[in-house]
Amino acid sequence: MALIDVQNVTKVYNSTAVPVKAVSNLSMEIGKKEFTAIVGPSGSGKTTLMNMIGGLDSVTEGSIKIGEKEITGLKENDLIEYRLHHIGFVFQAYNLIPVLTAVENVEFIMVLRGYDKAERRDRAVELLKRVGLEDKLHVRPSKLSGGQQQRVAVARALAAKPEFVLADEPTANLDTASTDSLLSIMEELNEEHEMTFIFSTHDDRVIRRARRVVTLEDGMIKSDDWRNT
Amino acid sequence: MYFTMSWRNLWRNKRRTIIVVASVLFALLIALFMRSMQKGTYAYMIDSAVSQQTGYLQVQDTSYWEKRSVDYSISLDDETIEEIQQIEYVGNLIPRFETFALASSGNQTKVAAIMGIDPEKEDEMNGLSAKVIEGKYLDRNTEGLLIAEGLADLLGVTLGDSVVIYGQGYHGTTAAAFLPITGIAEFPIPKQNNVMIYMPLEQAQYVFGAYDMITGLAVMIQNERHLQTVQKQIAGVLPEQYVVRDWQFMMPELVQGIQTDEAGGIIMLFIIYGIVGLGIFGTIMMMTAERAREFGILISVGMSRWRLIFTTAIESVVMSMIGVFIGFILSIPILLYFKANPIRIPGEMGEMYKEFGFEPIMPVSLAPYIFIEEIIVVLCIALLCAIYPLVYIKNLRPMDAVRGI
Repeated sequence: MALIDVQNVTKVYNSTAVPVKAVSNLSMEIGKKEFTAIVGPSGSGKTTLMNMIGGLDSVTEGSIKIGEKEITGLKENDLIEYRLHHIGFVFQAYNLIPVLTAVENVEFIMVLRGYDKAERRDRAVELLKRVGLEDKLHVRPSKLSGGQQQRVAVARALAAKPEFVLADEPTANLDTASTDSLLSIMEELNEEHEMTFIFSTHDDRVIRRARRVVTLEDGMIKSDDWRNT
Repeated sequence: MYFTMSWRNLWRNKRRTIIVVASVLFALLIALFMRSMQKGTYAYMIDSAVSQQTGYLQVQDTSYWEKRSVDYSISLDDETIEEIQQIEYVGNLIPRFETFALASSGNQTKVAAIMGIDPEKEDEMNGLSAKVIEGKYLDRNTEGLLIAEGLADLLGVTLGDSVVIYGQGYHGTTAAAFLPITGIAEFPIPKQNNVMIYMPLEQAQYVFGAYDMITGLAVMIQNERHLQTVQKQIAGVLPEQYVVRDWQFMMPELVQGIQTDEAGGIIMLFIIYGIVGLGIFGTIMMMTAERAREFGILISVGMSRWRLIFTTAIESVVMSMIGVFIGFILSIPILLYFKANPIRIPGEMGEMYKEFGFEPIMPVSLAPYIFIEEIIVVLCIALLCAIYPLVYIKNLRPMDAVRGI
């Protein structure tokens, strides 16, 4: 059974005088342990699709199931719980909490999940070691480079053991070395922990390393390529 | 971790936090200063008025206040006076025989307010002896009178001269006496300085033919808060034809003056609250707008709105509390200084105070209730302003916030 099952999803924005169809009757399945890139030009609907899968935006028509759970139609509070328990987010602008140190940022999601103090600290340290930041545990985001911040964001995304990670343009602000390092870490995590990664990206460096590339255009799937990397 | 986040957020933008803390601090300082001065001035006015004039309470004949005649004098036996003295919070009991008469010397005749007093008790109540500028203060055996300096000037008399007192005595008798001036006292208030004549109580009773009688027994109490209780208890031990009047009844113009002034003061205070409140609100609005994206992210990753509201509320509460705490600490030396060195009111306003019968000064009150009231009001204003980010978070659409819409 697919981990994520998107069926006949349409999203129309009515915020302007003319309604805009961002996603049109789109169906796709994403399985466990996938390393998938959703690509396409600006306005193709990739961020909207990611947001709908992440429960951050509602669908106009269609349904999205995560495992056996239908998330379309869930109430606001249920969606927040759903995100907290099932999804890890990695954002383009890192979006770490500026007043918390690297280790506290990773711990934060576990605080929300109610982990006890010792357990969350151990796991946060372990994850930061895993992304190569064992010497930056007590450093605040403003003192870290972009690449380091994004690695903290990855550690944070994985902290509460989500079912999958949604990464929206995660490498857009990174140089090549940082991008390569980050993608390597993500690939290793994907292999070691069977963690599903879904990227929305323009970045060829990401597209080259993805095992599946879904290309969107005008809110519809233009191509869906599986490859062996 | 929520507390850590809130605390660190406070110092993330120090200038913003300092602005909010300073606004709360100055609001409290100004409010405390204004209210302490207002309440202190009222307390001073009341205290001056009751000690110089009526006492907090006064035992009288039921008709005395309306008729103001010595015919409605009263006689209290020692047992009743002792009973009154035993009532909790009752301070000094000051017997008085008050009336008006003509005072005359040579060709000059003026209306004088005659006050028969127990010199010792009266001095204890209002420091009358300190006002003596020539001659001696009265004692029980003085055969003479203490005249106000203004009245002495009007009559053209000086220490050692004698004055004719002529008026109506008890139950239609004629009161007439020729008494030497044994002392001259100066009063800051023209109303008093131009009319007062003091003499020992027994002498006044003798001159006005009202043996063992007084027109009123002034009652000082130890704490004005217990005024009504004490009033009721005294009424309980008095004969039927006697009554206990409180100072508000005897000096309604003072009560009205205070009420009018207080209303003006409260309006001023609310204007200040409004200005400071808008300042705090503006800063908190700015802070909220600056952090909208962050709020959106936190909700996106799974932080419930209520948790986010809680951490943001902690920030507002802590900022307000810091402002209140510093404001409170700073206010103490300032208010203590002004308590020791009250501001003197100059010009016309000062003259107005004199006409009302008070020295033109503005002492401050350090009554705890003023601090409690103002701290609560200022905290409420600050916390009211802090509702904005809470409502903002409640209605935030996380993706719009993240996108910066």
